[in-house]
Amino acid sequence: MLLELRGVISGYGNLDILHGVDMEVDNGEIVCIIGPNGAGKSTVLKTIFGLLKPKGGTIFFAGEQIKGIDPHRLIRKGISFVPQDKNVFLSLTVEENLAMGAYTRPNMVEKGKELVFSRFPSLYDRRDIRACYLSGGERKLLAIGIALMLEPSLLLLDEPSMGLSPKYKKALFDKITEINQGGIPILIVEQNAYKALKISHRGYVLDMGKNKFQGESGELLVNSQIKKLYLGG
Amino acid sequence: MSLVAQLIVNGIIAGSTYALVAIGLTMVFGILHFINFSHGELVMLGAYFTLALISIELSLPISISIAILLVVLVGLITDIMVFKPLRNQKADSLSLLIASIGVSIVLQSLAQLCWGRDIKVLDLPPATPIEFFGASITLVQIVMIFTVAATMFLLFAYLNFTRIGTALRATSDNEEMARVVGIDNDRVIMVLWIISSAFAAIGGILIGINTNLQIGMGLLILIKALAAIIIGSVGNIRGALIGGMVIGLSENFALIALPSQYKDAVAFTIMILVLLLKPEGIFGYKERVG
Ligand SMILES: Nc1ncnc2c1ncn2[C@@H]1O[C@H](COP(=O)(O)OP(=O)(O)OP(=O)(O)O)[C@@H](O)[C@H]1O
Ligand SMILES: [Mg+2]
Repeated sequence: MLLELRGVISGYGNLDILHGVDMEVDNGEIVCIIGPNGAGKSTVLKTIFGLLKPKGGTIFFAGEQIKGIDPHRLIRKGISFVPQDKNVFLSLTVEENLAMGAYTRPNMVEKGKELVFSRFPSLYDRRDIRACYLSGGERKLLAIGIALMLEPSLLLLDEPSMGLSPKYKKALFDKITEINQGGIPILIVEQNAYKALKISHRGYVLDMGKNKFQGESGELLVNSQIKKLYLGG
Repeated sequence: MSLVAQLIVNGIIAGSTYALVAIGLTMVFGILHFINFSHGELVMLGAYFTLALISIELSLPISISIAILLVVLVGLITDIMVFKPLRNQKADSLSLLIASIGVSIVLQSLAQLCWGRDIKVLDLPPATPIEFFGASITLVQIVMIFTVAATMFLLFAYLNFTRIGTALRATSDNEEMARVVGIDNDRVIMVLWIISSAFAAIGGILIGINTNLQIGMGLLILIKALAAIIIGSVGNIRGALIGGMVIGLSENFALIALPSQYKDAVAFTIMILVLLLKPEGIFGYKERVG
């Protein structure tokens, strides 16, 4: 197992949001986390990435306990995180943003940029432009590009499709599938539960900071309870 | 005509010192989110350290270099002893501001213990003014202007073309994201203090060379720098540079119409006008640092 959460308790200050969450991601997989607003989906990703320090449970990555380790060390171990919002440096150019994605490994900057530009050619045309002048869709690609700079062995994505038009959404989900087929396992949080289950191998439904359902995405898609509660009918 | 030329020369000289001081102030604000009141004392110390080193018969360039290093050291020490512990306690901007007023008073008292309250002048060889488009300017002043221009150029090159410089702008832009990509915050903050203190020191030395030294000189320059960064949008380096120049030039041009004791009021009149007309400053929003 690449990533394994057991009984994780975490939150903000004294406020617990996750009350014992279990989760797994294996090599090659796309795993999605769905659930209502405020369920704690973003909190799960922030806790894995060390932005929040868990109060209980264990988190193993590639066989090693990573609970409570700082983000810059997790990056070096191969985890990258794309936050839900404010996930680019608006006043920096596209190229500078990407360079910051490889801050911890300066010798990877050139190789990483090549890799990102070949995956997202539209960013190459805009490489000298400040991120604040990019369209919403381009900005999402840049955010993912930053996370791909070091060729991570696990990518954590928090609602990448949020705020995009349906056309852009489809293109973005195709890109995510491509990235995964290129060999990067992905743990993705999605508001659009239907779409998330469509592109993922397995899924977790999180509610009130607890595991509610889990299983193969194909099975969750046809589960009548999930349909009723989370897929709108 | 020669009056206008003279006012431009004087305005540029004053403006470039304001700009140097304002840049450090605005950078600290951009990353640490507080107005460092003790920044003015770093300016003062730059001038007084130079004075002390010249008085022990060191040459001017060597005195200036050592003075800058000493001020950088003072800046780093204030961070390690005061601001860093407060940051670790998640102190808000107001607490940091008030702490910096405390630091300012302590540094001023220490300086007063060493040098007394009297006005001092740097012991420099007399400078003969030369004619320049009808304005009189000394060789030292010309060197000053070029020094400031070179310093600014180096800063912009550093911020735009080096890894740590870019990380500094990135941190000022989006602190949370800086953490997500693994930028080493302690390192960025150290570089920040080095740049900001060195610029303050150079500003102080220039003031010392051009006019005279007073223990309380930090406050007036701090307040002018504050006006400069508000004019140019707080946190924006280019804005601080332009804001400083605007103030230096306009307070000199105001001399055409106003007696010289009203000079200092001009900076604040402009600042208030900017606040009323464009509260986000001339370089408002998008572009932050760089
Ligand atoms: N910085 C914070 N400080 C305090 N509480 C927070 C903070 N961030 C989130 N919370 C709270 O934690 C709970 C879970 O938030 P989280 O962002 O993990 O939800 P989510 O499932 O990602 O929701 P959404 O779909 O809206 O993004 C919410 O009740 C939220 O109010
Ligand atoms: Mg969320």
